[in-house]
Amino acid sequence: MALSLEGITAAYGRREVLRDLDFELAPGAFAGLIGPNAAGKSTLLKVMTRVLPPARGRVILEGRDLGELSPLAVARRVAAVGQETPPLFPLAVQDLVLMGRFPHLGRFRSEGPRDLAAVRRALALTGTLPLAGRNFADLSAGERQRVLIARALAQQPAYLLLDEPTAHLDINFQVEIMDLLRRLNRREGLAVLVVLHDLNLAALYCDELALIHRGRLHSRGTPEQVLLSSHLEEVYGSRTVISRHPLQGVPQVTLVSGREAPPEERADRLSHLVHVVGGGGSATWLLEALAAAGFRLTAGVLNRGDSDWVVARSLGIEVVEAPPFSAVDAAARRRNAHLMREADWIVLADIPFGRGNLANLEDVRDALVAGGRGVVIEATPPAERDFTGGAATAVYAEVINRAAEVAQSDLDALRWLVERGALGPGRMVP
Amino acid sequence: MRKLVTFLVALLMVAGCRGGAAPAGRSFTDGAGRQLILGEIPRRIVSMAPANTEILFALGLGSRVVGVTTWCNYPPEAAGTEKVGDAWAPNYELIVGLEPDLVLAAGTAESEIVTRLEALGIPVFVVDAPTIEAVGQQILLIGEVTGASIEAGDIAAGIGRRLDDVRGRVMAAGGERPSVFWVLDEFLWTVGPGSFVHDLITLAGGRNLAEGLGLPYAQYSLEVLIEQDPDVIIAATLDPSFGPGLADLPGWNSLKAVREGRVYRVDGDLVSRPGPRVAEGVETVARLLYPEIFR
Amino acid sequence: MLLALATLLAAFCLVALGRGAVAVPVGDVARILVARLPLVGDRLLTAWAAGHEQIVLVVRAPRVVLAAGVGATLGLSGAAFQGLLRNPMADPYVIGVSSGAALGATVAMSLGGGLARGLVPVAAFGGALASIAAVYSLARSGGRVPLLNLLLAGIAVSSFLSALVSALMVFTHRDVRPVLFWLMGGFGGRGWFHVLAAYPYMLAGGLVVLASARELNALLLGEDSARQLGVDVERAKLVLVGAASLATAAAVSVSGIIGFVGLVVPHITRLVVGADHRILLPGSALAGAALLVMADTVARIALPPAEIPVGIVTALVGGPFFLYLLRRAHSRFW
Repeated sequence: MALSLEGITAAYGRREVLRDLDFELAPGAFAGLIGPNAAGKSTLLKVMTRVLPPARGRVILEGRDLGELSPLAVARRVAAVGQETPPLFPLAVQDLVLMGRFPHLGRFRSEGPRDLAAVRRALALTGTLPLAGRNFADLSAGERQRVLIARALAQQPAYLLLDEPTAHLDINFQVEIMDLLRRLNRREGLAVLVVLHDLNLAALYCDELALIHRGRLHSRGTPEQVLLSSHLEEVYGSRTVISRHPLQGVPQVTLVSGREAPPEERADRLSHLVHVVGGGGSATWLLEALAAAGFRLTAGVLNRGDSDWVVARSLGIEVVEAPPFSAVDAAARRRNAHLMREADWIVLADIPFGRGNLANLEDVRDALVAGGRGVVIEATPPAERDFTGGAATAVYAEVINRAAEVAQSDLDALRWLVERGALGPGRMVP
Repeated sequence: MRKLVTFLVALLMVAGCRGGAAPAGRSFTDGAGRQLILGEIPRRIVSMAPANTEILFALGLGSRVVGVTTWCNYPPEAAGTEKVGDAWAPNYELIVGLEPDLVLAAGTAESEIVTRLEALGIPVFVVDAPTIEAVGQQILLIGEVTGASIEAGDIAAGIGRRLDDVRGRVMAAGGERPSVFWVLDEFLWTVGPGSFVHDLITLAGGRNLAEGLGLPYAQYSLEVLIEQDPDVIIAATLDPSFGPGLADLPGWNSLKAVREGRVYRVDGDLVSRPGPRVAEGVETVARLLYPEIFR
Repeated sequence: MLLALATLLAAFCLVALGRGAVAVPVGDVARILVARLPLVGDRLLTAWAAGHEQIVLVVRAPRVVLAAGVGATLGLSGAAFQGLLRNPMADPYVIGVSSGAALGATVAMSLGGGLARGLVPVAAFGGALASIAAVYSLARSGGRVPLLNLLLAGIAVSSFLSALVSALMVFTHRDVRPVLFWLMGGFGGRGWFHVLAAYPYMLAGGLVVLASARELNALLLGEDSARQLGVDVERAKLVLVGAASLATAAAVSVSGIIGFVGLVVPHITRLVVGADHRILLPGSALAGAALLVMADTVARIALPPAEIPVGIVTALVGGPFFLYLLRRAHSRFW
């Protein structure tokens, strides 16, 4: 029971816009569609609402082919808010929302108490009740968008599709609209599919994302799985740094200016090899940032499936890995120690230590003892991160003693490394 | 010295006249009050109105008429003359190509035809006969300009005699004058005071039903027509397709004139042209109004 | 608001019946009308001039009824076309009804002959429907009829047909005045026959348009938006264009081409009642009827015993009134 696309190819005339695309919007889901301009996002919504019949493939609404359903039957289950076309003539908000009852009315039946109740509820849910008597065209952009959502709600749909509802809105209105959609999703159980340009907004609100590229589904999954700088480089051709939202922990995309660093500077940094010891998502941002800054990277030992592992893999760097949820074995330790010896810098991220990764800490200590140069990130007091009953804290103290730098945050560490890197290998200060 | 210059100028002027028989520089005042100076008797005349064409042919000048309008259908010989377009939209190239030494136009001095032909250097004489009485004068004027004064006098006098005859008989008949509704089309356009036909109806002994009309031509109210219920209805067309549409008008068939069979057709050309046949037009209408007097 | 418009229309109709170039006493008009009612009528003494009965019942009454019907049709169709095409400059003639009708009428008038004369309304009706069919099929592309195509095809076909009308007038060497007069439009000389001929089409088309108010509302925000509300947009277009054109064709065939009403009455009504088609459509019909009944009355009584073309009156009265409303509304309309 869902709204799903099976092998959809859609075209305007002879120009194919979607190619062989599969997608599913499950009941109660909150999904986002992202992708560059002209990737086919809006077309996807048109196909899902029967506005554009697909050239090939099927759209299945709760087990039935959309093409076999009447337009009214579809409109009773699926509502859409398109990119705004202002009405030509002045129209009161309540009349506009009442249009949403169209699929529930017979040709000669006039609106009854049930319809008026549905309209009232839609206005109330979107906070537009006070606007009911106003002229739609006189409203602010944010109010207009809420009214259009109210009209869709008056259809009493199970699936709500929105095409860039936050376009051209100020940030306060963007948040207002997205909060409203989340409320509708969580409280009313409405499945929401929203096309968004703003990737951070998408990460902040959507439970799952689908990245569309040139009419095909590039990747889909949780925001962590989809918003990788490698994905974004492939699809948008832009360099980005992925970090964590400081409060909500979801990935956030930071743009990197397209201006290239001066060649000699970049060459210097490229010669620097940094080995990152992370785990549990503690190093995702740093890995992305160091890569973007032009450092060569290795990482280890990371458990497979860990989000640091996902990022490291997506960057295409060498990763020493261990099976999920298991301790680091001897072979991995040897390899990790080797990479640390090779590296110009060893970075220890702000990781929690348990029995499983205590070995990592010990190997960092050994590497530093052997002459390696270490940068330790200490955003959280080590005692709070020690889940080994004190063993880790002791080793950590030795590491701190020998570290070249103890940074307060990922950003400080990055800044420190970039400064050292800029000096060039010959003039490096230990 | 001055004498010599004068002599040379005079010599040039004479040479330019190509030995015309008439005295140079005859001056006329046309129907629009314009002054026109003609050197000699016109030999190549273009007529820009059907009435003018009829007058020219009646004066025996048919051979001098080199161009007429597409509306000029009388006398039949006129139909064979070269056409220069209709009176509203003549073809100026054709007119110039005919090299006329006189154009007989109808209307007023401000009309486009007059100003354009003047600009082309072609002498234009405007003929204007808004009433029946003016027709005779205009014929005399044309006779004068074309050097056919004697013929013009005869025709004008004939028209005058015949009109007097009609006036006399109508007067003698006495009694109430029959009321006439003059119908131009199925939209009930009719003629009012100030129009040529209004004058003609009055002269023929009728009382124009639309005498209260403030305009020479206008659409008449059907309900007023029914209220006034005319004695006679005259349609100014011989077009056989005209008429059934009138019968479809609500209330038409209950009009007295319709019930009594006094709806007539007349030849529109005969009654609307201020030309030599005007007396015939008046007589035709008078015959319809007073069948017992005019046989 | 609709009630107020209906009252206004009724008042105008009474004035129209009571006033005319011939002064019939108001009491007589009332008695003549009442006498026509069953039961009551028989008890009345026929104390009025027989001519007056004919003027009121045979001349004025059908004219008023026809003006009301044609006005309602033009107002209603104008509102429908403006909404459907999302174009404030649209009117009932925008996709070629008038030029098709004009060509049909001109052909009938040019043919001459008694039979052809009576055929003018029939030929006009046929010409109008044929041109609509041509425009609609020309605008079709890939199973759909894009509204812009419809508009452009309408303009193209209209210009072509108008050129044919002019060509006919130039080449047939007949009196062009009847054609020009028919093109100007009016109700002079129309009788019950015209009412009976045109009303069935005007009523049928009008009712279908009225029943499509919700589709028109949905289309206000664009075709895609309407489709997402479950409107079968292609069918709605066909039904609306067909119904509005049928009604307009019938109106034009009996009244000629009366301009202005179909363009401006929907705007005037919208300024008063808003853009919701459920009210706008009946409102435009009532306002169109009221305007045309009043305009025709003015046309009949302004310069007795002459009549003036009703199109001149509608433009002279409606234009300034529209501008006044527009200034007062301070709307963001333009």
